[in-house]
Amino acid sequence: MKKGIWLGICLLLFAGNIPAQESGQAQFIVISKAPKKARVAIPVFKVKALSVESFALGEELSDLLGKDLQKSGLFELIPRESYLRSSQITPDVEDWNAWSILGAQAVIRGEISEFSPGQFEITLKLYDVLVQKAGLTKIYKGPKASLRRMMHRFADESIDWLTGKRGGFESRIAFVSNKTGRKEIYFADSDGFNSMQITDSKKLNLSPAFLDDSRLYYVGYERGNPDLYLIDIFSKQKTLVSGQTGLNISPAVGPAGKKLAFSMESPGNNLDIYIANPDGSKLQRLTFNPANDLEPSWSPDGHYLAFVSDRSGSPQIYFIDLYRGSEADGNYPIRLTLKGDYNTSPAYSPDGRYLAYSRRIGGQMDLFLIDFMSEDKKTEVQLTSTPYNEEDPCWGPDGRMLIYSANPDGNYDLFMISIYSKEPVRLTDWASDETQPVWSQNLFERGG
Amino acid sequence: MVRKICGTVLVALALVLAVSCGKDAKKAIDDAQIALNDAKDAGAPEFAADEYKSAENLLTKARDEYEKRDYKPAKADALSAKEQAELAKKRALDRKAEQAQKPKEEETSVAYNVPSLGEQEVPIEEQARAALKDVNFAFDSAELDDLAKEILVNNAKWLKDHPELKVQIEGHCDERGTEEYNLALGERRAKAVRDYLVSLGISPSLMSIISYGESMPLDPGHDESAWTKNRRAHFAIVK
Repeated sequence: MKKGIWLGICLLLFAGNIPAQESGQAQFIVISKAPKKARVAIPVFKVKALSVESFALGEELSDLLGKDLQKSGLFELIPRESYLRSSQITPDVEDWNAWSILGAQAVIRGEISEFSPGQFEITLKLYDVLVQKAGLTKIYKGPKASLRRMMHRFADESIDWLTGKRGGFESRIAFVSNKTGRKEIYFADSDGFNSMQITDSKKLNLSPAFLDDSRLYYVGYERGNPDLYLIDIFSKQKTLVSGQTGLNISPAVGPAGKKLAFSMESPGNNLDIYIANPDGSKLQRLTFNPANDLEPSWSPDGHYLAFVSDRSGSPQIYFIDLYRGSEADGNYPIRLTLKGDYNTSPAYSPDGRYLAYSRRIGGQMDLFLIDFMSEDKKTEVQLTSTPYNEEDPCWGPDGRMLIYSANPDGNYDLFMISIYSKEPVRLTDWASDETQPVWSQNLFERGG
Repeated sequence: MVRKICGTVLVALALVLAVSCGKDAKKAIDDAQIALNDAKDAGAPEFAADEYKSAENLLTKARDEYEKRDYKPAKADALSAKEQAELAKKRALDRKAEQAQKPKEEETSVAYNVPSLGEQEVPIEEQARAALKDVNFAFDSAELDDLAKEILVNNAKWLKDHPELKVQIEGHCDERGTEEYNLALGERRAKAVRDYLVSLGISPSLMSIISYGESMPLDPGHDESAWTKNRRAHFAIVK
């Protein structure tokens, strides 16, 4: 229904600009692949506060919401400088004409009130300019620490209103940082704020992978060997999942957290992919090849597993049909990447339509997508093309955005990119290296 | 009417006071934070841990009170936090200076014990560090070239002279490529070195291997000269 309204808006707007007899073509444009960005205005929120500091929240929070919407690649923010005077403050009656002149399709107004010290209530309304009324109204209540999260949630709701599918900004991320001099695992909001160090072994810690809304897997060297652990993000309690001498790496969580895939050394001394229960029990070997097989990624239905193997001599991406047994049963993996001599980090999108990965071109890594729903089922789309490295892509829960790490300034920082707009947005700007980001598919009800 | 005006004035005054109190408390908190940072730089978390912790706790308390708009206790606690931080800094500096002097004394006493022989015995770890050279690799390769083999032949000779030692062979990579793939590559490099040493007659039971992937570069640079140094197998003595 929402989608229907929006389609109608697009059609009407387009129809307004062209002769009526050609409106048949307009439909064609509307269903084209990359959605046209919706122009949205977010005037500074109105504040009723009890303390001086709280007044700054109006600008801070409206900017934060704008940033999320812009990041999604689905919205285009109308700069506040271009607003007409009648639109600057929250009026009793919205001047719809003033917004139409600017081409605004949506206006988001917010009212923040501090009803007791440190406790806030925010009313957010998304107005549909065309029909001249609120298309989305939300009221959130909570302490100051939850305000940023409210904005992420409303951004997700706004994206839902526009597209019929929620955004993923309220979810959290985990990543590796060597801020302390050693690589440790961190947990943060989707925009990199409120970061919290999870591991503190002062040895190497790598490759986080979310299991659910409170636990993640990682590779830790605290016993002097790269072992696989499961840690509770909030209590910091950890258990050893796989600790065989040699590498225990590349954790990847299957659909609904029911299975775990990872890489471990086989008797032949090479890495193979193993499938196990989430606690590491019921271990089954999947690949049987003298080369190294690692970095598994599950298709969302649990039918396929993509992974990296250097069986051809260079790292390439393969996939295997999990319904047909292991490689020892004659179920041989099929190579997916045929171009390039270094293709790694496969990541199935949550809807199964795409596989993201990174490929080395001219000595640098770039991000690519394979589109399984394209005509030939394997059309490749290049997402980034820069003179530096983009690595370790991971999908957001909405399947429209990726988080990854890149080193435009020499050191690695975290970035996000919308597969529609292909515009990278920086998340961290720390002096250290932030790598291997993962974006949780869950919401976190516990913790701040 | 007059009462109303009086009331308004009073409320306004109270507001002004509250705001100014808030400002004082905020300033005290900021000052305490600066003192705490200074203490941290001076090494207080290590050398005067208790004092530092207490300063930290006081500051947190002050912040909480400030949040709750209890400005008076916030200010008082911030001031104590600052004092405590300054104390932590002073003690840390004193203790650091003390420790810096200690090893010197030990050194002199050692020298005194062996006055005539002159040369001291070099600890075995240091000898190993000097004798067991790193081996370097080409990009995305775990193959040993002739230079690498020559180095390993020399390393093997030294290891044979010290059969009591156990070594760990570490495989390392440059920063290019992904973390995971480099872990596998580092493992392959360490194995290639171990297997070659076995072929030279070193017992496999004396050697263990570990891959650190790209995580422990020798040279933190981002150019070819750094990468060449970082693609290596390194020997460490296991105690």
